[in-house]
Amino acid sequence: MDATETPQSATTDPESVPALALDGVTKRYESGAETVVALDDVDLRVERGEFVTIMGPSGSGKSTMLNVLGLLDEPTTGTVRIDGQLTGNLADDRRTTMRKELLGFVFQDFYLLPTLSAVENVTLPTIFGDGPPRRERAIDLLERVGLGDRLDHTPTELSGGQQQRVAIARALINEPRILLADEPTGNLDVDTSRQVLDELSAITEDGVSVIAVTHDELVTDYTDRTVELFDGRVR
Amino acid sequence: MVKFPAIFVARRNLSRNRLRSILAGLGILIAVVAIAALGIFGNVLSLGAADALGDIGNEVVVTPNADEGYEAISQRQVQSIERVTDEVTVAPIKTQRGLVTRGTASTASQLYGIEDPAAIYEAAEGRLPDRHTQGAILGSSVAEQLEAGEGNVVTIEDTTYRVIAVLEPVESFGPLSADDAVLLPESAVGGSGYEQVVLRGEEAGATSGAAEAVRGELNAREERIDVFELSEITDEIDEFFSLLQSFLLGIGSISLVIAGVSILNVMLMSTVERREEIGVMRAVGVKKGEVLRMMLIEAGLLGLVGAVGGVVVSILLAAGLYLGTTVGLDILLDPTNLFYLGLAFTFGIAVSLLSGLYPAWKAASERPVDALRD
Repeated sequence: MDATETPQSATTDPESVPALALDGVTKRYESGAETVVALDDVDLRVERGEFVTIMGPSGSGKSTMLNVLGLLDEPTTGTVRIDGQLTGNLADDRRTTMRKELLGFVFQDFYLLPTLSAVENVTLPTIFGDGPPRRERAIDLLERVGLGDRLDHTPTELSGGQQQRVAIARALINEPRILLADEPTGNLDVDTSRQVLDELSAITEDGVSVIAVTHDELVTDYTDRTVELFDGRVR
Repeated sequence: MVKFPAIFVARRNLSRNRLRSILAGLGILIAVVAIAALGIFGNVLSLGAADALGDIGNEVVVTPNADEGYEAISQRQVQSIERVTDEVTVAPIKTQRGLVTRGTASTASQLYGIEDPAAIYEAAEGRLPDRHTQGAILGSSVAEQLEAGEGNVVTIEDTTYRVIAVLEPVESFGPLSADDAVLLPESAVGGSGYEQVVLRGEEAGATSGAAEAVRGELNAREERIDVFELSEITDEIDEFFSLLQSFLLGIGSISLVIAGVSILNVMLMSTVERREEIGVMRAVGVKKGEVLRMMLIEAGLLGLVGAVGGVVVSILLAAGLYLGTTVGLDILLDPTNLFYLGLAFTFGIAVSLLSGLYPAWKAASERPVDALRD
């Protein structure tokens, strides 16, 4: 199945810009004497509000895919468009700002700052740069993920599932177009995983696209479609 | 607003490993104390010496060149000296040695025949005349030895004199230190010419100009006179203290270098430990410059705490110096000491920031991709 086929709901409107569009993306890098092709001519479209899973075995290029989608790495050839905006060949500061404005990240290891409280962690992406810290929005988001009573807890005082939910709230603080999740359920048990996946689904109702890179089959229960990666190619 | 998030996160990061931060700060504290204390110590020594030497830098002594056989300075030469100099007082002195007696006490002392003693001396008792025609003026040590004061009578070389004044003790040397001398009218002291001519200026600069002029005038054809500027002594002493000061500060600086290395170490450890965290910060949209600033502020805060503590401890040590030794309060409160406090403080902070620069740059330049790849 060609991954460029998009669900019927969004294709008919010409003004509907896909949240994410990859065209001919190839990523090569030198490893010792060899050249490794991590991604090979990948095309991908994700519409607004879609929940997509990217699956594949180890070595299939999942991490590279995530890094390219997350603007953490640039493709060797091909283009990446987020919300119609080209993201290639940008200066580091500009690219960093694009990440801030368009993307949110959720990681397997949560990666919350241990010396900050839940509220402070969620506010963190807003305290640098212009504008005041968005503390009220942080509180609102934490309430939405069910942690309104743990605003001042530090990560050590929170369970894995709670930490992941804080991470989700953090990912949403700057109103991103896309939320990227790297093995979001990797460190969680099944019940907690379901809770987290419920949250991620709920987000899509606000028009935020969620792309989860994972090998947890459970995730596919929640997603609109699954993209399979194998040897750097989309199947 | 931009400075504050960096400070906020920086402070939290330091509190993560309190002991480590405290120890690093302590290193800077000790280094600041070393530099400030050594600087102040050297400075106090220097000021104390300058104090003790008094105004001798403003004096020039002209003597006949004995090597060439000249034994006295003539009246005409004195007039030449007066002619070519200004802004200095010229005091020609006839010199002899003699026994001074009062009752059963006696002491051998210098006898200075000088017309205008008030020009270069100060009286502790009595009044110094503008023209000294009669009576004797005792130096402070002589007066003490003979237990004589104003109004008493002393015998010098079979002549009796009434004591008309006693001089203030002088902490100096050369003809101006008349502690062991008795001033008499010029006519009372034998000899055809003057054994020395003393020039004294108010400003330090005036005397060197005068010395030049006198040399130029009286030694034009032959080296008839020696001109000795007492400022040469003070200059050499100043040079010595300067060298001492540099040496002391050099030693203090070594400790600062060590403290800097300690901060470098702490910050590097911190950078390595927080690799993933910094990677996440970069991923969520914190720019390189913002990360750099945050880490520099961490190093700067360590330095600030250490430097402030160091200044406080230095002030306490200085207070201890005052209480424990004979150093005068005026020397201790001299503003030049403040300079060394300020210098140490500034160096403390500067070294901290410098040491933090490499780790900060390293943290900021790390690619988030690499940091987040386990």
